[in-house]
Amino acid sequence: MTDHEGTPKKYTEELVGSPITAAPNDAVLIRDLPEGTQVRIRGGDVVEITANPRDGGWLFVKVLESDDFTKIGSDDMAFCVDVIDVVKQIDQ
Amino acid sequence: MTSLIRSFGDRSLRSLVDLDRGLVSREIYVNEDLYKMELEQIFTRAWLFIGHEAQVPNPGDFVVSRMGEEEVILVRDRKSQLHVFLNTCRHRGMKVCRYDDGNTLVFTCPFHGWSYDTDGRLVGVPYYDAAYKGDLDKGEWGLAEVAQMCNYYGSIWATWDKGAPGFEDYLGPYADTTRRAFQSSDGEDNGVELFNPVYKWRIPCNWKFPGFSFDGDRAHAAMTHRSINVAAIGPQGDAGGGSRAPIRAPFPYTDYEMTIPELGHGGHNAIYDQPGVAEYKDTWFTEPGVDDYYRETREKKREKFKDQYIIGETALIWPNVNIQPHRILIWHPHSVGVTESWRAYPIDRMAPQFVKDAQRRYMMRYGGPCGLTESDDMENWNYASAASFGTVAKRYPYNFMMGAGHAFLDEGRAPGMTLNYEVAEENQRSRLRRWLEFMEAGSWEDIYPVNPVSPSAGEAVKPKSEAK
Repeated sequence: MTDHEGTPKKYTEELVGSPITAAPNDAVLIRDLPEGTQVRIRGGDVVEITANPRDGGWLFVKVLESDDFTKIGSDDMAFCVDVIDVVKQIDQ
Repeated sequence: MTSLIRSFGDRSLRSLVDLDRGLVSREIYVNEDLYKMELEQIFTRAWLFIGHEAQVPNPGDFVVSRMGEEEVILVRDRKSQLHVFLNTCRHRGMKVCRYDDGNTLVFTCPFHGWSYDTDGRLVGVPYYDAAYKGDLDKGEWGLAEVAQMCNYYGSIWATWDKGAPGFEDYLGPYADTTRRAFQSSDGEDNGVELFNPVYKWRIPCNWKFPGFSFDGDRAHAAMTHRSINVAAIGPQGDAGGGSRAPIRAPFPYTDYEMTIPELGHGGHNAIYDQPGVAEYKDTWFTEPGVDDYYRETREKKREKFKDQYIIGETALIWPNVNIQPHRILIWHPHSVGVTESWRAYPIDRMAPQFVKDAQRRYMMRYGGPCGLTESDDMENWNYASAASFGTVAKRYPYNFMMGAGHAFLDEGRAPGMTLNYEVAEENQRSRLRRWLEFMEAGSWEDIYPVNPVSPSAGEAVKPKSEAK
């Protein structure tokens, strides 16, 4: 988005690379999570971010771990409030 | 064909537009009910200018445009296909895009989070499994897409009406003029890009004031623009008495008002006495080097078109777009008394930066919200509009009589066109004719294919030799 270039980066830069759960209410802020980051979503699935629209709402993900074996390897989308933890961070 | 003869209060629309006598009620420019009818009858049916593919070169690129009062998004999807979508979420209506342009993977509604891929598919719905429980078919709830879109030599046009004719048929004899508007100065198709950003500003007048008079009102120039012509704001400076036209010295020619009354398009154009393109004449005396570029590209163009008769450099494409060399003027209806005016400026994609800069400076001096020439025009449209809303003022119709009954055909040199003296109101009468037809029509079947109409109201079609 065009406004992204002009957005002050300090706040989000501090979040990336530092404990995400340190956000004020333990929410995971997804807007600036880089591709390759692995997160756990509500229900327990672990997914890897394949693309981040950086709208703070959605992530494009690939399912890595799930109790439902048919979902593993599939592409999906993850909504912000369903992302409950960062499993593996990626250095930007 | 069926025709809905709609009425306005106790008056028929035809009582407001008397083309035989050249009298037009001010009501059609100031009445709220008629304005609302226009949005439905004209702006959901006609082909409208959206933008240019050069504005969205990469997958995910988008630019927000308008169709009538409503915002649309021109976007290139991940497979590089172009789309035009209504900028509103299918869930609760929020704009899914609130930026003029940019690049994105998805359009996510900031209200409840419905998210749409760049091809319009609804791909993200919060609580989809838990709350909708399979009742929502995402495939049915994608972004609303135009019924037809056309990439015409790089320019993007669209209509909401699937019954509309194809875009080239819609243009009729003005197809060639439209094509050339998007050629670079060497005559190559799709050779331009647009200056970014598009100029946008609002003016207090009905959209038809500029929309119907631009390229249809040469009579205004001598009075309205006298001071600007004397001031010599063109790149030629003081040469030629401040006017570029005599300096350009094209082939011997005659200027006409040209129009296609059955389609509503028209322009001021020259018919040259010989084929080909005239030799380039320097006019950029205040911008060193620019003439060298245009002289070189002109030679390529002359070779390309040496055997062709070229007619038409400008055109108003019904209903609200005027294309001219180096500028595209769009007048979006915003309310009955407000127009959102947009200016897009094409420039040779391959031109060196100093040429682009010079062209940009000239266009900014000349037109747009702070351009000297257009300030003259806006003053007229705005005050004319303000002086037409009054109860007493509305008793007095506008006069569109100039040149009525004096139009003629010249099928040999300008096939499909109706011609009139270079200062006439033929083009404006054509637009009013098409306005009436669109406002009365129940569907495109009522207004296309078109029936050839006589050159002027009540006038029989005659060859030039027999014309008045």
